[in-house]
Amino acid sequence: MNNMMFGKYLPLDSFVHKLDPRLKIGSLLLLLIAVFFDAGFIGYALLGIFVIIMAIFSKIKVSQIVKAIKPMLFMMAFLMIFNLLFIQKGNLVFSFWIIKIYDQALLQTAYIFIRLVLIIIMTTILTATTKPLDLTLGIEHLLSPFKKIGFPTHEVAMMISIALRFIPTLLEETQRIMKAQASRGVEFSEGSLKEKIMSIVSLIIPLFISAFQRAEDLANAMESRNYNPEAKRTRYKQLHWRLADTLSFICVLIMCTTMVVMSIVL
Amino acid sequence: MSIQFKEVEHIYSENTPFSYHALKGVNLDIKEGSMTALIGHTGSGKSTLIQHINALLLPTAGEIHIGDILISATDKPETLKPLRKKAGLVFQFPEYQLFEETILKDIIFGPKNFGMSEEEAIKVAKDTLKLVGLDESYLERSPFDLSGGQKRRVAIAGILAMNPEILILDEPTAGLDPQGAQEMLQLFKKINQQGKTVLLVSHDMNQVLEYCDDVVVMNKGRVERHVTVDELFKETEYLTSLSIDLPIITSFILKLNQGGFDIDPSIKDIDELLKVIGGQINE
Repeated sequence: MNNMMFGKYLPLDSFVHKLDPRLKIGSLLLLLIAVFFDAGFIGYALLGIFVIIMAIFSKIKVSQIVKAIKPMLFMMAFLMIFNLLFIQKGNLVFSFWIIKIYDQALLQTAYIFIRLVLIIIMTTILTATTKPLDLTLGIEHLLSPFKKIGFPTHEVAMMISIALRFIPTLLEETQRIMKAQASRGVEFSEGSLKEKIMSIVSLIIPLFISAFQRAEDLANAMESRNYNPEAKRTRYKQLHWRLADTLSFICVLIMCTTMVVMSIVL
Repeated sequence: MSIQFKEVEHIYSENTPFSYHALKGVNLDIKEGSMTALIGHTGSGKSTLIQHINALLLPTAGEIHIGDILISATDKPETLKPLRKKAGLVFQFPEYQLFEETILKDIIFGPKNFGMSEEEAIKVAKDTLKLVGLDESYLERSPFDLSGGQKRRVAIAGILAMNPEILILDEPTAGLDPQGAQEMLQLFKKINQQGKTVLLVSHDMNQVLEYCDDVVVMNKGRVERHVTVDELFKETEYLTSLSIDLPIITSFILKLNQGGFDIDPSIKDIDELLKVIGGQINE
């Protein structure tokens, strides 16, 4: 459980770490849209190089990127197999019994693979270089125009940051309870189905109880500090848009425009 | 049962930016039937150390012998159940491990996992509940209706009911009232006198002085001292350097000695101290 890389913040000191979270979230959105323009292999190669440069600038190691992709492999394999079998356009390249594979299917599957890998790497770069709190701050800023139409931006951002804040706490709690029950003779990986269900019950009930307890404590703590979501608030942490942010944003825009232009021309 | 650590190392999340070297070359030999205190600051490796004793954590290097069971980085016992039955570990705030509908069911959960029959487990549960100071009327109540201190007692009963040969307690009295803390410690002492090895993590030096024979001091992942309690409290300078307070009675004797008395600082009992003071005043 500790080995989960996807969505984890890496406390490093890099160029990308220092960029404004608004820029990083905005760029990710633009690049995610750009990924879905069919810009041909040259376009994807360009985007791939761009993503690799981003990864280098954020000091993320190759092994960490591989770790982030690994849990998605099953889903990717599933998607790829279905695409291979069900797209029936172009010339037949391989046929066996009821399995028929067409060249268009191969092409589309390759595209899907490339797109998924790029998406995972880009998302990992965002979450690995941005502290969860900065992330929510960025989201709140980006959502603020919607406040005018009555969208509760602050509440949403608060909920996201509370949820993010408690993920590691709950993981820790899970491990603690698992260990406590293991000391009482529970084996989480062995035993019959009935024993396995019982061992899960011995984990889930204490976990729920402590989660509710924490929620109550947190609510009381916020209440006693007179928390009011509608109040106008100032922030300890201010976001500063710097020259590096503008330059990075221009790079991202150029990349996205290239993808769009290539997809129209080709 | 004896506990032996040989050059044990433990590194959390090795080869990641989060890597943390928690145990550094730990050598330790805890004798069968002793009552040993484990002291040291938060983050000194106490919790990591005790989790090795029933193989909840495996060492990164080195070996651990629990009786004749060997735990090392490469070979761990094929099944951990026999080991975990022998070494009962009570975590800090054990009340969070309660989950059954009734207290009885929760106490017999451990013993049943280790293969005890239901009838026998129920009998043991009744006995242990009495040991921890709750009467039989509690058996059918829900553990979640109890007060914090009572929950603690039930959780500890759940481990005691397994009848482990080694009892490891991680700050079992944190958050209990003084009266309750004393009762629990007296219980652990009684279990120790029945021949069980007891390892007690504690921050309260008064408890260490009153109840333990030996003491292990951990600092920054290393075992720095493994001596008798009397010997440890003689090393006042060392303890000050770790900012560990002396037991109240010991620091009182040292102050008296500064004022001209000549009292043996290893005295643990107030009545005995009073007698010595009285004798010296008369002289």
